[in-house]
Amino acid sequence: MRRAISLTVLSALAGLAQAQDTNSFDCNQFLKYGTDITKTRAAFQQSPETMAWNWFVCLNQPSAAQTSNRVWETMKPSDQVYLPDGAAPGPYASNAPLPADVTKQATALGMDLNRTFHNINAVQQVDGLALHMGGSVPASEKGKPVRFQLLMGQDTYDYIVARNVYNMNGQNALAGNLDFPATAWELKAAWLWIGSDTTYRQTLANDGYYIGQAYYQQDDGTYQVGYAALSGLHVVNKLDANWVWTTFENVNNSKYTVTNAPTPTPMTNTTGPTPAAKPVNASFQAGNPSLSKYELIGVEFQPVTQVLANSQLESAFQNTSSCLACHGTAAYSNDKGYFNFAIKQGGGIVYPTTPLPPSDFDGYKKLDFVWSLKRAQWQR
Amino acid sequence: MSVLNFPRIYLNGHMFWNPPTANNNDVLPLYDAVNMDINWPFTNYFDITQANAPTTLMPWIISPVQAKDLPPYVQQVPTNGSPTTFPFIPAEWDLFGDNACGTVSYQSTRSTIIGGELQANTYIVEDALVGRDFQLLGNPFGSQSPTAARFVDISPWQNTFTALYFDKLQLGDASCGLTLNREYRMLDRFLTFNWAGDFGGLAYVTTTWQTCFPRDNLEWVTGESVLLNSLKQQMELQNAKGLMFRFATYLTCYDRNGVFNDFPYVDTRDNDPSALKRLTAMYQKGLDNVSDIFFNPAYNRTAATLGLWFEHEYPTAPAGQRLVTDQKIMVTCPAMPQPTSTNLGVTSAQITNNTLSLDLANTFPFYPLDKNADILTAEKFQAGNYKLGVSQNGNFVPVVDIGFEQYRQSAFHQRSGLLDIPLTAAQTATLQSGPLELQQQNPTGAVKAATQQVWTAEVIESGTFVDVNDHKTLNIMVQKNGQPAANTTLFVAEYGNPYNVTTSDYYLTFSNKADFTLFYDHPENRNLNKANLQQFRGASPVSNYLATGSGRRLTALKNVSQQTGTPVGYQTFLTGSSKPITVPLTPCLQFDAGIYTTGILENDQSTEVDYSYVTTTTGPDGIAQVSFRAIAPGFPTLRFFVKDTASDPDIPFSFALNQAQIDFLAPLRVLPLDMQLQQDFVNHWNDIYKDKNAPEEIWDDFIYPRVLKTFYYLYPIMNKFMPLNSRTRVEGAVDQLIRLISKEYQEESTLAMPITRDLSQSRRAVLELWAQKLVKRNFPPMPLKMSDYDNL
Repeated sequence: MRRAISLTVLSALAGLAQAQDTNSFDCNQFLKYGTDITKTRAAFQQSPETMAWNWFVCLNQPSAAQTSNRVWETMKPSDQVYLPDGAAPGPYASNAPLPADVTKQATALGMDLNRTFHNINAVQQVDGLALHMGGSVPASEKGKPVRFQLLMGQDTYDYIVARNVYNMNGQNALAGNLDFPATAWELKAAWLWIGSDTTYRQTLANDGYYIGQAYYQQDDGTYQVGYAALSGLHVVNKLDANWVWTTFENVNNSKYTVTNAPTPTPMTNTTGPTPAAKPVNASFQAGNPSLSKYELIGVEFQPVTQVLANSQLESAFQNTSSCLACHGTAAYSNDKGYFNFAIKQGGGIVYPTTPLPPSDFDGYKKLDFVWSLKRAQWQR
Repeated sequence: MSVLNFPRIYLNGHMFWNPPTANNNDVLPLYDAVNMDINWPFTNYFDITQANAPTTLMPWIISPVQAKDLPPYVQQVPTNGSPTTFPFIPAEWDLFGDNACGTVSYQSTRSTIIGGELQANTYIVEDALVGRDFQLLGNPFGSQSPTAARFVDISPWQNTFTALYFDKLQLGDASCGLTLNREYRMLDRFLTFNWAGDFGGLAYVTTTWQTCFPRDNLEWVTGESVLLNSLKQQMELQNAKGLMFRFATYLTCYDRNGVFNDFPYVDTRDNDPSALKRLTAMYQKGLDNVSDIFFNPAYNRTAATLGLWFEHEYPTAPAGQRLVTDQKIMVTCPAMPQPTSTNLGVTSAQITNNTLSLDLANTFPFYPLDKNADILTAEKFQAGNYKLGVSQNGNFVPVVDIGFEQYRQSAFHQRSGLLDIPLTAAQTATLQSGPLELQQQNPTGAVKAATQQVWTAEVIESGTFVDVNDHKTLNIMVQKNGQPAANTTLFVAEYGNPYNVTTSDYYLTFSNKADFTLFYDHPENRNLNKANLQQFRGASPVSNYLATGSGRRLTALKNVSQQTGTPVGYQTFLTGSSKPITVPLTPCLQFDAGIYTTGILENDQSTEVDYSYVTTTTGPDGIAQVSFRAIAPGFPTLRFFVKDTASDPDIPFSFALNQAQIDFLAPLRVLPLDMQLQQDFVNHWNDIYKDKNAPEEIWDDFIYPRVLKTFYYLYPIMNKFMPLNSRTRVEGAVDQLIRLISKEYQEESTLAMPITRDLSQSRRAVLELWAQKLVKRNFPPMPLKMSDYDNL
């Protein structure tokens, strides 16, 4: 125990030391780890939390190509990769046109058509449950779900296209495991829906939320168009063979999201920020006013037993959530389909917090931690 | 033996019970539980059809109905005709219930360990364990956060049998406590339903629960607790099999939101139109938005004992010597103008080392001191003084006295209803000569209040769910005067209930079209309708009764002998317009080596009844087995008759529901098989699998309407977790769905879906095939085969 505490303190101090210099990181080509991946790996090893924050800052800079968007907003959303009928996706940089009704509503609302409109159709987390809004949200938003989207970087996308696994036919035809390049990136964003309520929008802006433009399709086929507030963001890449898992969320999330308890209580993060993340958070928050209300919860990259969760993305199963262990189960079998990571145990369900043994995947093709491939469709 | 042994740990507090009440309706046959479907023939009376149900059914379920709006057969059913029931909201009092149950620890209301005893009359309250909470917990749902235990009525129309599913019992905490991991789920026993009738409501009912834990299932953190350390030591020293947990629940109350929880207050007993309108509006809001969902659990008091479990003791019901009611006694209380006649409940007795230990948790009736209090407090009725002794050659030999001070509430509270009386050697010898008898002492003479039940029989697998075509063997532990009864022959017969509402009487199942008077009808006042407990020719007549109200609304139960009213025949009621409220009395089970016979009913028609029974004999350990194949869906109840004379025991054609309290019954549920459903699913997919929208089509045309729709209507709490009408949400939780609908989890898991476990094997097969071969593979454009069902 004494040794564990010492290591924790040392780790936190190391993070603090690294965090002193928040402005020296070069965002140029950061998605490729600059010019020297070895240097990036070394810096990451020295303070994973500092590197995570550096990436987060770079991702949130204005995009050089689309100045009205942040860098991460220009990444490829998964709904434009895994297309209906298993169709081949277009070039990485070509965005699918917005549905006409979305454009019409956005125009009527005076929204910026040059900015990204995020398609935030998803409302379920990987445990199958939704996270509901509550607390200080307007009455009209109470009980409605937090919304999600997946995005990927160009090298992730290119690999998926090159291996023809953007559809099920390609995945079914795979002879072996996938192996994404080191420069593969994926993001998962959580959004509080605002709609057109300007007062609420301002409240969330005052609480430090990044406000994006978004839409989603309702069960009856019609679209909701409006603003949304970024409440959480997973940022992952393959700097390490087990990938690097980092997650950020807004410090005010407990004001707007609630648990699914019989009488809901504010949703809080029970896994972090980790001791190592705390000083780094303080440092980067001070140096980046537009991100000052976001905090790094922690970083995972070692295949050990651990938990790390974002209260917005793994809400109800935080204490059994391990990004690395769970994504390590990404696998497909032509006969059994995708691996079921809801493990039968104790008469109920648990999720893996330690990487499962290779023997569990006999008959499966490993998908190199990329669960977004589940969204692929068959050609019909 | 059992918790009557030492050491003991005493616990008490409050329990909550949160059932979804629309699917467990006491009064209206909304749910066809045999076939697991909305009772469409019933709802059609209100112009609610499968086609228009999406817009008509839930609005009807949450709105008041008047008696005049109902089909006549609803109130024809005996006990279901009380005019005070209406107006009545079909959803009843807890639309969003999730079947959760457990102890209450809310604000200053706690459920705690209160003390213990290492030996008789050495009560310990100063202990590290005392004052800590205890709780029943469920299985893990993707998290280390505790989940709730669950309870399920084996049959919606038998509220005498409720199963309690749990994963563990937790006493104390990580610094001092004990975790007891489940081996046996519980089934309530000794429900004193007659007290509801005698005193006016379910608040007066007591029931007993018991479960046992083998040694290997125990996780001790004894800390500084003398009680825990002693229990552990004695378990080992006395070579006990493990630990036994027995508790009684009593003083049930409803509509206590804001008292035991943070939910908004509702008064679901208020028939005033404005109150009903408010409840309807609250239900509608909960249906519209999950943030407005609220529970309205029932609550009751609980008193529990943790003690030792020994070989040959029933795991799920009190074993040993048992006293049951004989003659009625008179009881009174300060506010009662006239003494009331009632029966004692069930008493377990044991003599150990010159100490007589009695379990009175279920013996004496009680009443709420202040009916209007937020948190009810009980006191026992003054039920007089007693002498416990033995019956020798028809003469009563008194041995010990029991007075009010020994059974009053404060004594009950302190020792969870257990009473220890020191004996001299002579007294011990006399009591051990048995059989025991309990006499109430009155100026006008003694009343034989309770006598020892010579035989007891308990089924270990009681409450099991089986599928049609399944072959099943049940183990029956038989005891005579509290000891395993070797080489004892039992006769076993199957009974059923003829109505799918209220709690009704039991009739022998039969295979021919026998007809008999089922009940006597009073069209001018159906509150007077009563069952005809028809018997075989030559059998002893059975006393009849008249009930006012049913289920939660039961307020009176009195014996009547004279049959009046218009006789209504079983066949007429079963096949006529009243069919939607009936359940055929045909067998659900086919016994192995069954004996098929014909009996003649004692009626003018001398009706012949073709029925079957089976005999079985206990081994040296007092355990017998009965095996059968399930042949039809339904809710069979097995009744056991001990052959204790040279003559075969009588198998009665019918018996009253209140006999279920102490008789040897084993309720079961047989789930239907529908191979055509499985074939239809494969055929349908094979017709459409190449279509671009095949995933949507198979959902819209099959999975939702033919598998999930019923559960969507009846379990609106699911809207919060997995809206069963949403293809996206169900497919998005397919990994969890696969786990929770598994057959393996149906038997014991608190998370089994649906929570009431009424998923037929065919629906499960279809869901599993859809989930594993289609959803998990993203709907491959490939055909399915019937053999795919075998490879899941």
